[in-house]
Amino acid sequence: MSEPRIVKFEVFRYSPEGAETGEGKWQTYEVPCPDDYVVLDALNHIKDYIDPTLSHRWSCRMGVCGSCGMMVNGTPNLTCKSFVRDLEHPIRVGPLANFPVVRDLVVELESFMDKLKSVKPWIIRKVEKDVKYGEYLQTPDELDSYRQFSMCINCCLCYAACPVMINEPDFIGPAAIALGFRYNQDSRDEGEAERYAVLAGEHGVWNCSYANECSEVCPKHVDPAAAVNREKLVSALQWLHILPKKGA
Amino acid sequence: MGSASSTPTLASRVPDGWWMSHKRYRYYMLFAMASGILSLGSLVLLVAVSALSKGSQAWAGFLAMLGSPAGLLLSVVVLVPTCFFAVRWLRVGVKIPQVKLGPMPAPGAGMLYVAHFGLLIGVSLLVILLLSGVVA
Amino acid sequence: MKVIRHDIVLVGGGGAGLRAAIAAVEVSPETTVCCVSKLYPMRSHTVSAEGGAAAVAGSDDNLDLHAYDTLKGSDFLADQDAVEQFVQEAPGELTQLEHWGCPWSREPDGRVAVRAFGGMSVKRTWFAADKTGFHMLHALFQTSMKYDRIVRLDEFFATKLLVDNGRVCGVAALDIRTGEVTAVLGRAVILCTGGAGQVFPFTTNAAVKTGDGMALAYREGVPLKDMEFVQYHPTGLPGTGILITEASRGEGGHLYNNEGERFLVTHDYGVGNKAELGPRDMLSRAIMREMEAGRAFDGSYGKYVHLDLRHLGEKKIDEKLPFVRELARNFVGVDPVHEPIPVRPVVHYMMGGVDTDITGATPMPGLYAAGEVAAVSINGANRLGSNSLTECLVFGRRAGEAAVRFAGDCADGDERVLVDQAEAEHGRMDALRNKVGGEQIAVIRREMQASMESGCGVFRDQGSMDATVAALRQLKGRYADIGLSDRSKVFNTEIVQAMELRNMLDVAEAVAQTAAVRTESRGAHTRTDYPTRDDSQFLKHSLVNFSPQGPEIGYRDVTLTRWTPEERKY
Ligand SMILES: Cc1cc2nc3c(=O)[nH]c(=O)nc-3n(C[C@H](O)[C@H](O)[C@H](O)COP(=O)(O)OP(=O)(O)OC[C@H]3O[C@@H](n4cnc5c(N)ncnc54)[C@H](O)[C@@H]3O)c2cc1C
Ligand code: FES
Repeated sequence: MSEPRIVKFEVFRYSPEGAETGEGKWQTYEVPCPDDYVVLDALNHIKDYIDPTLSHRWSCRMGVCGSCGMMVNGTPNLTCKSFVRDLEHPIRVGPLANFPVVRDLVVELESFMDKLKSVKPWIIRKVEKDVKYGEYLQTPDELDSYRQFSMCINCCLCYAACPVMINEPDFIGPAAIALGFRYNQDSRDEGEAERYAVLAGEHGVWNCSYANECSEVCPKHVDPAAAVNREKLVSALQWLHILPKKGA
Repeated sequence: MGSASSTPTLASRVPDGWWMSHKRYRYYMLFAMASGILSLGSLVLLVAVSALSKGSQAWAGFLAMLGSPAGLLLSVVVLVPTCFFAVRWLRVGVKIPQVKLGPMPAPGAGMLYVAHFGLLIGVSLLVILLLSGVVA
Repeated sequence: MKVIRHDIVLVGGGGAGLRAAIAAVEVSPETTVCCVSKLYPMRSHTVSAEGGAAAVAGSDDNLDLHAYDTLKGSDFLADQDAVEQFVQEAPGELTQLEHWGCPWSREPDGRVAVRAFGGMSVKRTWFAADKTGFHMLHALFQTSMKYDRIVRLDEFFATKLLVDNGRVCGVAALDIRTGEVTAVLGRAVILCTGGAGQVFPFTTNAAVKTGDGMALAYREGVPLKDMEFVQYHPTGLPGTGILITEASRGEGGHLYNNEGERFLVTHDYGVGNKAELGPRDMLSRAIMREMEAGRAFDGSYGKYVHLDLRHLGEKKIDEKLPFVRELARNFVGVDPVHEPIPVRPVVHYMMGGVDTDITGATPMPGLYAAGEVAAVSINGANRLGSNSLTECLVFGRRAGEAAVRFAGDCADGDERVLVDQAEAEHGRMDALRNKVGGEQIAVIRREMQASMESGCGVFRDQGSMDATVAALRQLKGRYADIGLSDRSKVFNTEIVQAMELRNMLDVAEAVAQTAAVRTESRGAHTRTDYPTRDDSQFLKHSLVNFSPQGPEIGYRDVTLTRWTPEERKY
């Protein structure tokens, strides 16, 4: 293995307690980084061996749990997937934009959790089939019509990238809308009518100005912008009574 | 649950000039601003309609204005952002209709791409031909 | 002190925990469940499971065959009554998940598709491309949101079981956000805290898999079962330990050594014509033997072999194994469509865990466990791939329902006694947060992991295990002198790491000590000094009990019903 390179990191620090309150600050650390280090490895190195007071979230370190989203050089990214070698130095790591900061790199996710729940992300049916009669049939084509939108890992990078969020914090946002749309598109579901009020309502799809930024940063290629804007089309046709709502 | 703002938080503050702070946003802002310039185009159209309503002399004056160096400059100034706007809009726009509406199957991206740009180029050509008098 | 009261307290919001929660509120229209989880539930490590979940599906399959495969895979250490129950309820559970929206991959006619998996004699592994755990977890989590009677305490860390007169009646939980301890009281407690792969240095397990639930139960006198059995998955990426799913072999991938041989075919490793679809313990040993024989590749993270998927073609890889392609490209810069993937064995799963019966009940009244934290046991000495996601569902539901029955029949615990214990925990947290000492958390953790790898790896012998036991004892001593530097209460992750390390040291000790006294080789426990299985002495579960002097080890006979243990040859 080649010698680790010393890389400068500027990491955002904020604590609501003690002397450090206020507006937060950028703290510089020098981290020895082997060639295959990701930003998360560097943060863990800081935590373990340089400054144990640093707080950040992470878990799977394989890009699937959605915990480790942060602003890396100004762009929302999963730190477990951002290779140090690909970034401009010094590397600036901050908490996700458009969320209140709890501490250091940790942001408040409660409002996001509420938004997720608001779209009723579960299968809604008038009559449930008993499990003993087996599965609902669903062809690969029917699966494909929503599969992409079921890939969201709730990492919230899209909220940090969305310019609408800056001025409309109540906008339910890309991930939640994509999830609602995912269920609407599922051939097993009959809940479209129940989700309409939220998806097409005051804080719903019509807040979106189609900046497409959510889709640019999505690490799972969910393409939430497509979901949001398709829902605009569908809900507009429904509003005009040209298209029925499933389950109405 | 329940822990919402249980400890003080630092409000997410967006730096002044955020929309120019990053190339992602700059591109989008350019797009948004292009729509402003686009409206200049509709202004020209309004003037045209009003000239038409005032009779042939006014119309001739309007055409002369369009043909003047300033008029030509205006056309170019409107044309460039219009093309930028149209191309970006049609490119991201293809994503929208790819959805199953009622009994109809969802159209594919490739088809929509061809349709969008085909329509744009087709209509533009038609207008040019109409204006140049090739087609009566 | 904040006190919260619900009927049932659940610790853990992974696959097992969420299934238990839904079962509890569905079986009883009034029951409330409080789900305490140190992570937002959808971040639980179930999310990373790739390959699939097993249940009989096709007409070429039957329950007895699934049971037999599972028992043989377990090297006959699994309890046969539990396995029978498991295979019988498995198809219903996976169908239930389908009804809850899990996007299982399909056949052209719309039925759920199944794929081949290691040690399974027919195709019976249901899958959602190669993100099965992710889709299962999100489907469960999203479904759980529809019940207001499932109340979540997200990012709360359970630090202690609250026990009244021998019966568990809640947990003390640290609110990571505020640093305050809450007494979460209930009439039954279900542990679904997952495994403990982090006691090893090189693992597919997330940082949070620190064996907390095992340690919580163990310290209150509940035995841990079969802890010596640690599964190495044969195909992890060198360096990170990221898993390359067994489904890649299920779909037809092959393993090659540096001489270009498919060594599972050209050498006799006991897997017969199953080759790459042999069970994990055997494949891991085979790869280690190849390394010893000098037939492996050398890389910056040690030796490895090749997993070749190229012959499957881009279309199949993208359709069935998109995540494998994404992981290999992102983390080792290899596109499996064009190049073989470097792989080596990596710690993956704990067969052992909290001792439970087939309802999920532990010996402590009121305490239930399900998922990877528990040992029912259906996994015995070696789990078959794709059985554990199903296990989370089958036994998660069973534990949820059993806990409701238990809670319905008994009174609340003595609140004063319980809150006093939580108060004491609060004091302990304050003391820990302000602790001064000469030892560093990260250093002790690293030494513990290194010692576990050297003593409790794929191949073990008396000398190396004894050395690990001694090293762990010494590390526990040093742990008493750790110092913390983060004095802040808000989102203090250092104190969480300190508690996790304590839990891991207890779990590691249980693993090493039970391993050191099992003088046979069975399943994943392979000893170079005792290379054969010894049914006359060891057709038994080990049970380890906590005592201040160190672990006390006992044994219990394996439950046999219809199958006689036979030599494990494929
Ligand atoms: C990479 C990988 C791939 C896998 N692939 C497969 C597969 O294809 N098929 C298969 O069958 N199995 C697979 N497995 C195994 C299987 O995924 C796990 O055994 C299973 O998901 C464990 O689920 P669980 O619910 O028991 O625990 P987890 O999902 O780990 O959840 C544990 C929960 O407990 C909580 N918790 C833990 N400690 C505390 C505490 N102190 N306080 C509060 N909360 C706590 C956590 O927050 C979390 O919510 C795989 C495992 C890995 C690592
Ligand atoms: S740590 Fe799980 S997504 Fe990065």
